[in-house]
Amino acid sequence: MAAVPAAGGVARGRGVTSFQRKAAAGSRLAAVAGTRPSVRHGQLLLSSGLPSLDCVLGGGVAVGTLLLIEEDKYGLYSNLLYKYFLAEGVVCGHDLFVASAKEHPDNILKELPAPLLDDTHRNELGEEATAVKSEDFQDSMKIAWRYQNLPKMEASPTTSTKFGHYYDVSKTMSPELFQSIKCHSFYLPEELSLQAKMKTCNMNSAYTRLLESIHRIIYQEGFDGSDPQKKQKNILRIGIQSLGSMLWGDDICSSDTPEDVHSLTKFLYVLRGLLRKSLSACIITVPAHLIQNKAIMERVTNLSDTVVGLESFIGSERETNPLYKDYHGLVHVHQIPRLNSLICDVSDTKDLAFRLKRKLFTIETVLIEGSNTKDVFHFNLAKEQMNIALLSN
Amino acid sequence: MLEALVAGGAEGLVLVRDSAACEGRSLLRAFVSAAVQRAERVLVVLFEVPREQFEAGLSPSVKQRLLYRDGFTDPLAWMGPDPDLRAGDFGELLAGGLPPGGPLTLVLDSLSWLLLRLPPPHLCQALGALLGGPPNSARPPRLLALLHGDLHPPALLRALGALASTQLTLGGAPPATPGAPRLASVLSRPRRGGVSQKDESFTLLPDGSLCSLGVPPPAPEEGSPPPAAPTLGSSGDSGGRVPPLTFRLRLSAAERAARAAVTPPYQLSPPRRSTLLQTPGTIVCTPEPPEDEDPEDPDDDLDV
Amino acid sequence: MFAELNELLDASPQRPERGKFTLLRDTRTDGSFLVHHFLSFYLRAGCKVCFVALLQSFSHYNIVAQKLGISLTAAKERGQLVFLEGLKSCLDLLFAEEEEQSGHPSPLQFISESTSNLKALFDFVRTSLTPADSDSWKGPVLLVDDLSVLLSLGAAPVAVLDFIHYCRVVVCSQLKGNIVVLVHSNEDSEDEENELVVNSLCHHSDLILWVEGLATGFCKDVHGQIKIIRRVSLELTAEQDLVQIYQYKIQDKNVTFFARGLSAAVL
Repeated sequence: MAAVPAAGGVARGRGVTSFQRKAAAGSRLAAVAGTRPSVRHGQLLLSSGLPSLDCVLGGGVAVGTLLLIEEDKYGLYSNLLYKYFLAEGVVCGHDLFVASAKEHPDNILKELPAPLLDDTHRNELGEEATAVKSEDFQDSMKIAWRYQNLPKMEASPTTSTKFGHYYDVSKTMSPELFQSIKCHSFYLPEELSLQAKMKTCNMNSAYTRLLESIHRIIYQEGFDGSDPQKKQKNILRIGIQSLGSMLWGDDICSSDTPEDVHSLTKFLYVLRGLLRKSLSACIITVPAHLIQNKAIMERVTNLSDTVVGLESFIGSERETNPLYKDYHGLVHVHQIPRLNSLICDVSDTKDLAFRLKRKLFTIETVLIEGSNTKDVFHFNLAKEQMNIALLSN
Repeated sequence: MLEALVAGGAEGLVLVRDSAACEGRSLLRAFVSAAVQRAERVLVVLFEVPREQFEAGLSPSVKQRLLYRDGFTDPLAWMGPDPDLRAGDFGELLAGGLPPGGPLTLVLDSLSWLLLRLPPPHLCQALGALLGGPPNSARPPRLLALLHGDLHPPALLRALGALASTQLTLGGAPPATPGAPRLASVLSRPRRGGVSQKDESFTLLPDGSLCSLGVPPPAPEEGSPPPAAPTLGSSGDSGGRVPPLTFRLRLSAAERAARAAVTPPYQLSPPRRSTLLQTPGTIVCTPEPPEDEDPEDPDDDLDV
Repeated sequence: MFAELNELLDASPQRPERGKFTLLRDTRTDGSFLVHHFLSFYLRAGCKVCFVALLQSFSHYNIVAQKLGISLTAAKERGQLVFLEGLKSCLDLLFAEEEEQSGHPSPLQFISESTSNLKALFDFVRTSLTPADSDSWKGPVLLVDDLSVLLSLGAAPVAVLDFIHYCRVVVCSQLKGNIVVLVHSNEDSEDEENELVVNSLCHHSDLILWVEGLATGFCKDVHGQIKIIRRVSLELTAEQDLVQIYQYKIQDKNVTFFARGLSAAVL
């Protein structure tokens, strides 16, 4: 991988060294906006739109990989993550590909959250710091210090070259941010009338058309490196909403013994091939809680790179549990990929919860009321030593 | 009973049910060796393993007496137009393709392979046609079939069991040390009637023959000396071995008698009882010293 | 190639075994480090390797192999490695224009056609590993990563078993080579087709390496447990399988193995 300088001269977190890898023979990547190389495996990383999710995933979403979100019961928070991903693409200047069978992509783009740029951001964070206990804010810095770049203020108001931004869910993005962005859209009801050109290979026709569309965009816009004349390389961010639901013509959500068990997995395999050979990344939300046949979800997990499940507390008994009173739901990280390496960045802690406080969406370790982080750290360390001790009969 | 079956008592369809943990091919080899010793003809139909693997461990005199049909090399005709035995031809083999003359032992390795690829009812019809037959015809051949119990749904296994005259199910935990006795559950329904079921343990001798050890002993009593604890890094460590106990849970007869001879303290003899009743009893109450209260709250030390 | 694993398996690149079927199983964790081990082991041993890589791209394996001291590009150039990149082959199959298709049918053509058997894939393996006269490699090796993907792509479990059957016939019995296959399995998995394939393969394997994540959860110093099952019972009549259990920790260029409970963090 070429030595890519950190975009925008951002000050790095204390744990990240300034060591840069030497260029491999023949692969020279010009600096691409909105990306940074991973320390561990040299892959380019993108921000998912949520800095705390980036931290949980070990730095961000790697280029060429798939981020699969298992939707929460009412689809609220997974939809938010989907929009954060696309909004981050707008802010970084990436191209977007928005696919949905439910909402028209233009409506989705109109509802993207507004980024917190310039001085308004510092004020927002300052309000947060004084409103809640200062320890909370200090704690989130402590947990994330190894990976997180704290965003610094930038001069340019429109396109930002930092890594990771915060968004205000209560406001929508202003249309002038979209002007330089190329958005490709795929709205299934409109596409069904057109004729599919590629071999169907026994796959659901909706998935076939979607794959064809993605392949065409990647090829025509040169994301797979097929157009060497293109000077400025860019990333394509693909977002697919509620894949596998009945609106896509698939019956895995409605039936215990669906007719076609393989369409979704074939789709994911071909998509994986397309992602690996292009400068793109994809977020897919899947209504996993509706899929009756658990074997399908196991196969889907094996075919995806990063799998994160959201569980919201709405309507469940955990809503009244005092342990979770500050949080809105749990985050389950089911899988993190091992890319170009034997090891992967698994975070130490597995008890993650999220909260949508005021306008910020954060993911944190569940803190037991009345304890401080030092205790939690010791608790985690003791738990690990107990794990080791338990293993000897 | 197992030895009697191996020695020629088995008739009709004999199912040997095994699993990945307890393999059953060695039991098939025991049957084959015994049949060759009795000068019977043995035809081995192979689908799952090559010939070298099936006859591994058999003595050379046994090996040269075996007849083979090779369904392993090319059962689906992918490699050439004319394989020795195709999967679909198995029915015809059973119906009319058997070598004539004399008692025959047919060994099928394995029935599971065929069940996964052919429809079970057709296969069972072919087997049924083999086992039945007009009453005055020559004795039908004995068919030993290897069946992997962990590959099929339980309903299919039960249905096959209903067809078989004998079922040998290899089970129990895999033995910890090589050469240890293995467990088989024998269910036999001979032609003359009646059903008998028994669990037997057996070992296999290096030349392939079977040595039955009868009914397996019950689980070893506690307190009996356990095998020596394994050293670190030794092979065969499967975990779960009982550590040596530092106390005994059983009493010998003498100790039991001695225990019975002791009077328990709550059992009063009449003189003692009268002594206790006559003593005037007074209840003396001495109040405890007042509590030493510490005004400090230990929770104040926490810096929360 | 991990030196400690070679010691545990009593294997050495100077004298690779012949005619063996090795099954790699993983449960609740990722066992692909074993695939990297065997790939570099057999390349170092001088065997001709046919690698059916269905799940990751060539560059992924190449970068990891370079950390282990082997260059896959060089191996491909000198003809020692035949690499089938499943992702690329699938894209070529589905998106190629009609006039671009070459004379050879794609090994993965079962995806697009109604034939449900994997004969094309088997023919690819056979032509790759059948020794040409000019070859001087020691024994062919087939490596598959991973077999469960074929089920996701629409192959029936019996079709997958037939493919493995024929590979055993040609590679293990006829050419006296080795096969190494990775499968996923879970104890309480609801994927019955996958369980059927895994159980069936267990019956034929000479060596099973079963990698499991810890039941107690994630631990920084012990990444999992590996069970090594040597199926001696397949070869000799009176012998039973040998089972050994160790724990391991994966590092950047190496994997260390130790007896249970004796991780360096505890000692």
